[in-house]
Amino acid sequence: MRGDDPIRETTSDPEAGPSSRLDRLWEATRPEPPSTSDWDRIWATVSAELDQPAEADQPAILPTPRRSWAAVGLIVVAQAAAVLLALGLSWGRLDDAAPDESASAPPTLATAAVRVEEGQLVLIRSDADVVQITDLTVDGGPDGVDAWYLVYNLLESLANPVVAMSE
Amino acid sequence: MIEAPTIEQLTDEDLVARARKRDPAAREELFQRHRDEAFRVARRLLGDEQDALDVVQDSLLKAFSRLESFDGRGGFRFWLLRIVSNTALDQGRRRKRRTILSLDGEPVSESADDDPGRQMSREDLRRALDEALEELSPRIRATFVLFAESGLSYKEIAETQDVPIGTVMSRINAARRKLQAALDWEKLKGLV
Repeated sequence: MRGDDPIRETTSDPEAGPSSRLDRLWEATRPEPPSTSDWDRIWATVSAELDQPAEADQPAILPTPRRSWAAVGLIVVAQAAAVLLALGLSWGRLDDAAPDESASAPPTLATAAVRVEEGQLVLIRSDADVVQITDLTVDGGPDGVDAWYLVYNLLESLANPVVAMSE
Repeated sequence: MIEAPTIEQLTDEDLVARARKRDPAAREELFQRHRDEAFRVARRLLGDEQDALDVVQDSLLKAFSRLESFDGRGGFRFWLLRIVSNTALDQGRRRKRRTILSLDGEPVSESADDDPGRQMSREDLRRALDEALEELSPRIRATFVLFAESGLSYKEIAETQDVPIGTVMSRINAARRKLQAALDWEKLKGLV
């Protein structure tokens, strides 16, 4: 079916069979090539995409000390947010378990000044009108159990162990 | 003194080797050599010029970015056509055709040919064939287009579509029969 010719050369054989009729139709409808500007646009897009990984291969810029501190700060903030979220969830579960007339009232948060020494691991939570402070330093420490493991364990026990064990 | 061959004189195999080393001139030469055929296959499979250009663009990106995994079997042309065919099949839905309508609602050709009678005939024929092709299943259509438009061998098509050669042959026969039946030859009488 391949060939260079258009319709005019193919209309001169009216006696041809069905197969060659289809062949002639195929030749007559051969798609015309796109314009040069279409090809230029396509090649510009393809080239630009292909050159992108080359830029990624360049050596990465090492973080400056300021960036390092910013990254550490970001991690600390994220971890703090996770703890607050967990606390919020535990309150929510406790509230669900014992709905009362004060459900619509905003929860009251107790406040207290707590002194935490460097290296000390302390979980501080506000429980109704009192501030509960749990010192986890003894269980944790440099050679002990991971500090976050202790915190999450404690939070889980505060939330609702019954739910955690249900199927 | 022996002169180094120009880029146009290099074989596809040499160009592929250079393209693997990120030689932009080698890539562009491969593009220029095979773009028209890639477009024709995509255009036949999709029935729309713009969709075909999109598929060719995607296929070129895939072909060049996956050049490391190309084992050289069948050559770059076969590799590209295989990607074009699969990309066209994967496209799934087709965009709305961008038919250009004249003020009286008659479709006109986008080509700049000066002979309006000839263009109208060509446009009618193309539309009739596109509609008939559309009635084929995507797999049968792809098989037939690769055979009729690119002249790939049964073996090459079988590799492209991951089917036995016998399946390729029966698909081509089925496509021919269905196209013959779907086309209104009486209407096309004066045109073909």
